[in-house]
Amino acid sequence: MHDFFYQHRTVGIIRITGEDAEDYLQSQLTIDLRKLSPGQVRFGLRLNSKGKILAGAHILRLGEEEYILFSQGLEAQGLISLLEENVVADEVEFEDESENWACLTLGIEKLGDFLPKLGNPSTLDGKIIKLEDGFIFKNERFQENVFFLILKKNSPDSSTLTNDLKEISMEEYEFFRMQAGCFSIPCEIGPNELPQEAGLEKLFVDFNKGCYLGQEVMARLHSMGQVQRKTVTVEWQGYSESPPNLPMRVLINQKNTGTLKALTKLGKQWIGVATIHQKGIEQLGGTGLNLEDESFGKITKL
Amino acid sequence: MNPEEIDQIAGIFQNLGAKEKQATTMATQLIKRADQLAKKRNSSRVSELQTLLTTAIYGAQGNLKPSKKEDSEQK
Repeated sequence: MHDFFYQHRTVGIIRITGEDAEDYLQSQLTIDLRKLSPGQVRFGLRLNSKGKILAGAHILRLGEEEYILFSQGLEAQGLISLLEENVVADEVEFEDESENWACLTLGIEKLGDFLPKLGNPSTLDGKIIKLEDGFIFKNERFQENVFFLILKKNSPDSSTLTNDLKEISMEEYEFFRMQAGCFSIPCEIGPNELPQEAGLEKLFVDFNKGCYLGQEVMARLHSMGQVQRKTVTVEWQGYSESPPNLPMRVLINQKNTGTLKALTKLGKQWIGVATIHQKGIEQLGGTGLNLEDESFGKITKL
Repeated sequence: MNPEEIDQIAGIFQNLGAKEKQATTMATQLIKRADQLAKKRNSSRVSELQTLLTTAIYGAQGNLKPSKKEDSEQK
């Protein structure tokens, strides 16, 4: 990975305020917000009552009664509709702030030269670093040093932090994202998937937090269950310029064993995201699995 | 917002166990939410108030509304 930045085109940014903001969000999201102090950030999920994923967002706690939710996969109005769904008599307000902010992803291989620009913070994990015109925080969905930079539009801070970095295209970013296993919510993992089917429960579901939407299913799976499918990054061996129409079924011995959901190309290499039944995982890592339309060839594990 | 309406709904919350000040806050929020929903769904304000109050009453008793209960039981 070389150092880069990528300017996101569409993101959802909402501000949540009110006396009941903590209690209400605690009842809606998979992470324990009572353990999130002002100045801290975590990624959390909004599930439905069956434990399937409806949304994912970084939750920035700015104050006792003030949060910013930042979602890459859902626009603000969609996120607000989901979060408002269960408001009854709660004192909580949702405001779409997407228009006010620009959002960049920064990928930094070695932090040595970068940390002084952030004021040499003692830790980056889970911390919001406040800038003159915005925030920067580590994106915990990546194992690499990947940051989200959220700045007021036209802020000069942007060039200060990105001047040594190379801007990458959408194709390059998508390739990097899929390769790193950071699947898009809810497009690549969504209302048909459980967090466990994408390994998201390890970091983004707090099993001891108490009641929230989807909690019964999460608790049952955690204590005695095992999911039958896995969402993985795959390589498409079609060697064609034009990819298949997605989603496309994936077959093993002519029987359905999963779904190919997304593909992206960089240079000559195509990679993508597929949800595959456990019985197909071994073959995916070996000879590969056929796509429903065999003229498009096979997918293999990346 | 009509103060009489707030008082009436606050009375319901007090009967459910809320303290007077909290009941007034909850009533104000519930009316505001009913107005939002009526506008969004192009529905009647009264029916939205009724739906939200039903949800609140079930919730105060530790139950889910029958419609939501079915959702929760389908695994």
